[in-house]
Amino acid sequence: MASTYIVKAVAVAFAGSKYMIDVFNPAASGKIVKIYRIWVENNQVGPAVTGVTANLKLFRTTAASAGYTIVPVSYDSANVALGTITAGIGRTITASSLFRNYFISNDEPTILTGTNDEWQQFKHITELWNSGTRNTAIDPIVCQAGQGVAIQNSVATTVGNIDLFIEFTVQ
Amino acid sequence: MAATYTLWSKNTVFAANKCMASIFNNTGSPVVVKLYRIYALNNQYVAVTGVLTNLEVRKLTSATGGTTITPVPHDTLNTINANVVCATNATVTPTDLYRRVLWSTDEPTANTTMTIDEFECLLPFGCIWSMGYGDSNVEPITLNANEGVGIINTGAVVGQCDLIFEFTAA
Repeated sequence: MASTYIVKAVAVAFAGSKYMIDVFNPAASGKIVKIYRIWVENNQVGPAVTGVTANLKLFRTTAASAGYTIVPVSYDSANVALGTITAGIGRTITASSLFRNYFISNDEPTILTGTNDEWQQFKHITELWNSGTRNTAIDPIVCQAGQGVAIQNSVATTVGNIDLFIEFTVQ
Repeated sequence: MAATYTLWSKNTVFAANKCMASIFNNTGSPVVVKLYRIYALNNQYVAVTGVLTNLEVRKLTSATGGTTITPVPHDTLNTINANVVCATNATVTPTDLYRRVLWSTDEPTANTTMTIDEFECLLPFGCIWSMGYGDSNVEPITLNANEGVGIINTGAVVGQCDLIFEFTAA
């Protein structure tokens, strides 16, 4: 098994064109990052908001800087160190190829209804990306040195918040 | 195959900041615990006025006390090492967050609604952690000696749920 990490961004506030989460493998890192799974979950307990529909876009990236830094968590404390690999929220990103576009509601779930925002908190439904999982013949998203991935909110909304998780290996 | 076990914490009552279920691999343990899957299921029958809360999957650096639970081996030829301790309501030191999920503590109904609490009864939706499962390139959560994992309830004080850990210890 490869050394596996998860980076999590909890209760990330929506903002127009904001990069909600990203992972970046800098040039000359000497490592390869493989993105296995990504989840986007509506875990808002409150307060109540008037949600709207938004789109999240999953991009390959070629640069990431500034913003808020997140420290990925290792699945095994004996894993290889991350080195210069970084992750963040609201960073300045240079996006390139689009892998996926994802519709989402930023309304808060309630216990009384079963609409889009309530469904967005079940793990098997909120798995935005899972390439490579359960079939080792399929590549995950491979981030060579100087590459990364990011999820951007492409709609001008500042309502609500969301949790995002990226699972990756480092070799 | 590695010796595999299921920990089932039934009818676990919600309380604020309670460690609903935990597994801890004590200092000096000769085995490594690998946590493959976690389920949370809303199996309650009694009517309650439910609320929303968050359940957090966190790494633990200590776990003591609480009510001990004996995990069930998938093969009766296996016996869990005594250094691997499973419990509910243990006193824990939580650290890194692996995952959090939204949870409704309302009771499911048989045939009148299909909201969050009813979906929480369905096994595929109740699987809140399956890292590494099905792809051997991806690690499960690995608990070396003096490491553990717990599910922490951050808010609700009504209702109950079942928590299940599937793990290997070898």
